[in-house]
Amino acid sequence: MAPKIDRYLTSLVQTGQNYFQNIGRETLESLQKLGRAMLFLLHALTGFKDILGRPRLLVAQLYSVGVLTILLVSVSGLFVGMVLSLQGFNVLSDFGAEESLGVMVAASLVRELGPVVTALLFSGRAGSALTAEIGLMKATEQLSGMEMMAVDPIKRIIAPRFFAGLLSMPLLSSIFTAVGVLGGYFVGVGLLGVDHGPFWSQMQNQIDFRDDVLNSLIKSLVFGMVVTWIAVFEGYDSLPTAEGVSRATTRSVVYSAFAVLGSDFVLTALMFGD
Amino acid sequence: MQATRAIEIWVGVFVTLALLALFFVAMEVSNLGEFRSAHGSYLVQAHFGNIGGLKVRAPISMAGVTVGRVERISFDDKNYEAVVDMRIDPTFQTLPDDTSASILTAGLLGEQYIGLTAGGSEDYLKDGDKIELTQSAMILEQLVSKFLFNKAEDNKGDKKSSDTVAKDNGQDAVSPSTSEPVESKAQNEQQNLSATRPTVHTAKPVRSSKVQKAVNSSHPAPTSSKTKSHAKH
Repeated sequence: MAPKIDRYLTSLVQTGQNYFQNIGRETLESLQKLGRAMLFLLHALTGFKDILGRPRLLVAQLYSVGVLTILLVSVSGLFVGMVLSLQGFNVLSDFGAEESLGVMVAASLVRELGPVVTALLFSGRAGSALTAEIGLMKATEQLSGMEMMAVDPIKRIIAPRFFAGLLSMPLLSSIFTAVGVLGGYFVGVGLLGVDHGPFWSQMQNQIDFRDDVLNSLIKSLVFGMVVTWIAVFEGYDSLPTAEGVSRATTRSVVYSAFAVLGSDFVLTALMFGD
Repeated sequence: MQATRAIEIWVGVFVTLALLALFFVAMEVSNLGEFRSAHGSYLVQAHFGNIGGLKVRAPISMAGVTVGRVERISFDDKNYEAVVDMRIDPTFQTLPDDTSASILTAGLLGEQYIGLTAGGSEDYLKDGDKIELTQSAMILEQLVSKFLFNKAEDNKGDKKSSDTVAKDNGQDAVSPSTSEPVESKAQNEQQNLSATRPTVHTAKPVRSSKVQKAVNSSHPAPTSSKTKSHAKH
């Protein structure tokens, strides 16, 4: 009887040790990854002056990251604005406050939906492409090849993509907001018959340039940095196999979504929670 | 080479489009467009006993037309008053210098704004002038308590006519039988008024009559039912 209990206890202790070992390893690995990501970011930021020397690299990336996303962002913005207007009208007409429709649409778009939805779309459209591209470059050893030729791949490949994403996000977010407001205008004023005078004037009364529009731009800049950083780092850090690249692409989109929504809460609390 | 040219053109289109969108958002959606006419505007100051929920950038309206915005709200720690700096748009240069300012509420529970009522003076307000005639914000709790207090007083004074008083409590039925309670009530209201407005000391008859004028001009009502008309607002 006694040896049986003994064996049982030993196995219990072993399971417990394994359990804690797993937690410890996970923690250490994620900390290591965070550290790598941080060094990677600093390295990419130092590539800024190399980009100034060769702006064509940045322009090419602005095209693939920014220009190709315009259509997606503007169509989404149009529909988001239209839906906001439709839903807002239903609620506001219960209170006889249809004139506030413009404020409602513009405030939600400028403060929240513009930066956040654009960032989510951006991570799906451009972030995943960046991760896959860089991951494949790593898998086919193009990055190692560059290193062999004494070309710094982070400065030559990563930095232009990083700064292109950083620059594109505020621009795309402005397009999203403007198109969304216009979409809300078409539905609210065109279809639902809200008067266009109060629609615009109440909007202008309530939306402040510094408090709302500028903060929205800051938000989108932060989201652009976060999303692009995650995308290029996941690509650079991926396992150089087909599966590794696919995992990295998935992670890039998922982490971006978490990071955007989480940092949005923090930024909103800092900006609007006076 | 041709391909890069096309790419550069597209990037140029992208950036232009985005800047146009930003311009649209700034000018049409937000209030930045208003700052275009900021020069030439002037500041006018007013002291209030209580500003209620007035916020910076709240509209200043005269006859329902927005003539300016609240620039700054500060506190005068000598007289314990709120000091409100109002920026009046340059279009409105001919406001009389005995204009009175009162803090009003848009809608039942809407945001508060400053309503200006023109006086009859020949001189106009200039930059840095102070509006002397002010009326504080209505505090809902004070109104309710005043109303309840008055009602209790009325009931005590005249049990018989309590129905009529409750029904049309906007009018002070000054009949000989209720003259004394009304008198005491009037004193009471005077106290309440000076409590909400510390500048108005009853010792200064000129000031209080001015205030009375301001109250009357902003709320055209018979003098006897002065404070009652507050309760109705």
